[in-house]
Amino acid sequence: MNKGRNLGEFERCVLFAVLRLREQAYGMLIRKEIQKQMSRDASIGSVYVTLDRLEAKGFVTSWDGESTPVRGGRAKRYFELTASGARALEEFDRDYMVLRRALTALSPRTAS
Amino acid sequence: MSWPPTWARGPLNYCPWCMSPLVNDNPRCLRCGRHASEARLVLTSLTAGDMTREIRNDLVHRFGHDPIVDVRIERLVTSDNEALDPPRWAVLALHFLLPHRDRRAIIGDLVEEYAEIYGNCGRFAATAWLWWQATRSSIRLGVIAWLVGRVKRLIP
Repeated sequence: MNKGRNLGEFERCVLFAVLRLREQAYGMLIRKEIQKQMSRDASIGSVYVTLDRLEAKGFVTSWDGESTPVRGGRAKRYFELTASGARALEEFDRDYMVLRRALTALSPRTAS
Repeated sequence: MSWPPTWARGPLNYCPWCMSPLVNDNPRCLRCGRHASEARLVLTSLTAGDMTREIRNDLVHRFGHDPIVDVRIERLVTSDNEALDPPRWAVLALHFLLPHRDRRAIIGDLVEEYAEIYGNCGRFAATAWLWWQATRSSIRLGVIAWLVGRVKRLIP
């Protein structure tokens, strides 16, 4: 399903990890951050697919960083949240809060 | 001095940088603030070509000047580096299965984490982990399997 410019749940997790890591956000750390903060196991492949999708939507930008001997000379790909990415994250949180308030208002009635 | 040093093979009980004891098996040294696994990574990430005079002097300063130790450092750097090499078949499989755009970055990330797991849990765990990640990250393989499944559904 194409979500257009809306955020999916996993996309929100990835954006949140990129936001938290700031200038150190690259694949491996993003994956670890998702595992640590959301207690959710994600493969590195799914993280990159999501990041590519977010980049196509204009929510993140990426650039190639330095390569280290530990990585066998392969460069890191860093990601950064854009202004529209931050806005999308805010909108997601606002929608989530609205939904939560609606559910809270609904729950006493469903209970009775 | 015994070789290889205990921190290179077994559990650590002292900081490999400043040689002060580690408290409660905490791998971060309270005196110099460095992480014990950093030292392991420094040695394991070196290749014979990286063995510059500065690095050699630094290692000799840390472990003592001894021609035998010097030769053993060389041997450790070359032989252990071969041992740290991630499974070639897993890396090769990833190379062919991952999309071209993200290939180098994903393999680099996996190799970096492989070195970290190798340092903490040993070769078997690291190899098993890399194969598991290679299987999971094979997006192209997943897409092919999905397409085959769709085609199979279409055939009566």
